[in-house]
Amino acid sequence: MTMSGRSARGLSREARVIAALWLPWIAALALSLWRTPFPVNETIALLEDVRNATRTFFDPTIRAWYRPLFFYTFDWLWRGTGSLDSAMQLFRVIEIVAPVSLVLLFIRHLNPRGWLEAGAATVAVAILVGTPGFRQNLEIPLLMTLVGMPLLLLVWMILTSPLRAWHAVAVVSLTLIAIGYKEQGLAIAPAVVIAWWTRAPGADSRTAVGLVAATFGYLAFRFAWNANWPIFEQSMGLGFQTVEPRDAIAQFGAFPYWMYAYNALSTMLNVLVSEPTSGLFFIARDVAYSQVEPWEFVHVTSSVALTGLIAWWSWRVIPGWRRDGWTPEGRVALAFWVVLLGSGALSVKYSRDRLGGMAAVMYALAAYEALRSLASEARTTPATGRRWAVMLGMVLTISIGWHLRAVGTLEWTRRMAESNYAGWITQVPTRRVRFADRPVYLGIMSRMTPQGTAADSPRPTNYPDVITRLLGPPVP
Amino acid sequence: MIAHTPTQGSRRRLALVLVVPSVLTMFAVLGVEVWRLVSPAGAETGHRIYGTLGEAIVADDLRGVMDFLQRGQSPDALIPVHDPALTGGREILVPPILWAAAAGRQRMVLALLGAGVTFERAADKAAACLADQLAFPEIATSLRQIARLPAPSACPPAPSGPPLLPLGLPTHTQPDR
Repeated sequence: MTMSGRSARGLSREARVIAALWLPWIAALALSLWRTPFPVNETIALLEDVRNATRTFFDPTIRAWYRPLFFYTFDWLWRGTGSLDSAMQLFRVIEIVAPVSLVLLFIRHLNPRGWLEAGAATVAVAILVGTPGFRQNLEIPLLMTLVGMPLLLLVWMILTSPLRAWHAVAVVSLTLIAIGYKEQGLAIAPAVVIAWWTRAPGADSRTAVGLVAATFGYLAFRFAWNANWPIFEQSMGLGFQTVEPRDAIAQFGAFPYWMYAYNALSTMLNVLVSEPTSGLFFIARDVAYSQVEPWEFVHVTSSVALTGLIAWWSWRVIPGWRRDGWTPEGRVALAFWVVLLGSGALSVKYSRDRLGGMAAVMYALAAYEALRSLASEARTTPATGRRWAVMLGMVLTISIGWHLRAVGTLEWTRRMAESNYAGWITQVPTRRVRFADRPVYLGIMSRMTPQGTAADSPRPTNYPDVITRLLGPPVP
Repeated sequence: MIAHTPTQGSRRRLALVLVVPSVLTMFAVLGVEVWRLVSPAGAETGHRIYGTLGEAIVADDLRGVMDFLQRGQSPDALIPVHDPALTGGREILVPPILWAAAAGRQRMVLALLGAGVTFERAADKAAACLADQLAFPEIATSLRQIARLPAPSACPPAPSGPPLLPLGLPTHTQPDR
C-alpha cells in the first residue's frame, strides 16, 4: 500500500499503537510548554508593538518582515479577553496545540499497516520532532512557523486524498493563513504545484492555479515595498564567526548575493546534516579542536545516515516517472527536495534552524517512505552478509540517533524555560532603567514578571552528565 | 513447526531495529516523567537547599536566591558571611547586595536589584566602590546604572586588610529577618 489515500482510510491499529506510544512524550512536551515563562527579551517589545500599533499589522511599509496574523492573534486575544494574563494563556494554548496537532496529524497521515510500516512510522515521528526546525520553533512566543508546519501537512493530506469540491478553497485558505503568520508559509506553494504536476488525487488544476495566483499576488504586494527592506537585517553566521548587519553591509553590500546564497545553503544544510547552525559551523570547529560533544556526534551521524538514505531512495523513485508515471513515493521525494529549496530561498537574508521548519515536515515524510523502501529491500535480502550488515547499521544509526534527538527536544524545552526564568530575574532591573521613557513597555513588564519568576517553571532533568551531554544541544 | 525463509528473518529483525528503540525511549520518557512528578527535588536541577542567602549567592544559584526572597526574606536584611580573603575568616553581617558584589556574582547582584534593594545604609551604597576595588567592573557599572550609586571618583580610598570587614557588623548584632 502506498501513501496515496492513506489518510482517507480508517485509522489503523498500528497508528493507534504509535499514538499511544508517543503519548508520554506529547504530554511531557505540552506540560513543559504550558509552564514555560514567556521570555523577557522577545515578548514585551512584541506586546508593546501590538498595543501601540493596532492598525498597522497589515501595513507592509513598516517592517522588512510581514507577519500580520501573528500580531493580530495577540491583539485579538488581548482585546477579546480584556486581560493580558488571559490572552497570554490562550496564546500558550496555540503554542501547544500547533506541535501536538502536527505530531498527531503526522501519525494519522502515515497510518501504517503491518509492523514494519509501524516501525518506519514511529522512527519518522522521532525524526519529525528531533529536527532542528521543529525544536527551534518551540521557542515561546515565536510560533510563526510552528503554525505553518501543521498547515503544510494538512494541505499535503488534502492533496493526497480523493478530490473534493472544497479542496481548492481549503488549500488556498490554509496557505494564506500560514503565510500570514510568516513568509515561510510560502513553502506550501511549491508543494501544491508538485502535487498537481505529479497528479496527486486531491490536486486539480483549479487548486494549483488558485494557489499560484495567490502566491504571485502576495509576492507582488510584498515586492512593491521592497525599497524599505534593508540589505541585511539580522546577524549572520559566516564560517566560524558572526557578522552583524552593519559589518555585512560594509563588507558585502555592493554584491550581497553570495551572502544570500550562503544563508540559503546554510538553512538547507541544517535540515540535511544538522550543520551549520545559523550559518555557523560549530560542530566542524569542535571537530577541528577535538572537543566534539556526544550530542554533536549523534546529530551529525543520524542526519547524514538519514539524508543518505533519502538521497538513495529519491534516486530510485524520482527518475521512474518517465517510465511508469508518478508514484506516491516519487511525489513525496520531489516535494521534499523542492520544499527544501523553497525554505532555503526564503532564508536568504539570514539563516536560522527554525527557518527549516517547513522543510522538516517534508523531510520526516520522505524519511518514512525511504525507511519503508529499505524495508521492502529486506524482502529480497537474506539476514546475512555485507549488504545486510550495511542495511542494519544504517537503520540502527537512524533509529537510535533520532530517538535520542526526540528526547533532546523535550529536554531543550526545559532548558529554554530555565533560560527564560533566569532572563526575568537578571534583565528586569536593567530594562526598567533603559526603557524608563516607555510606560507601555514598563507596564507590560510589570504585569508579566510574576509568570517569569514563578518558582514552578520547568527545570532541566537531573540526568547524569553523560546523558545531558548526549541529549544536547544547549539553549543559545 | 513454521519454517522461516532467510528474508522473513531479515524483515523481522529490521522491524525490531525500528520498533525497539522507540519502545525503549518511550518507557524511558515515561519513567523520567514519573520520577520528575514524584520526586522533583531529585529529578530536576536547581533544588539545592542552602542554610543562608549568602551561601546561595556564593554558589551563583538563581533558584536558591529566589527561594529565599520568594519565601519572604528581605533583600535588605543583613546576612552572616565569612571568607578568608574578604572578611579575614571572621563572621560578620553584611547587606546581601554587598556580599554579591564582593563575591563577583553579577547575576546575583541583578537578582537582588530586581527584588528591590533600597540602598538606605552606607554599607549598601558602598557596593559599587567595593566592586571597583575588587576589579569587577561590570558589577560596578550595573550598580551605578540601575541604583545610581556614587561614581568611582566619589569612592573613598580602599582600606588595607580584608575589604568587607570595615563595612560589616559583628555577628552578635541580631541579623534582620
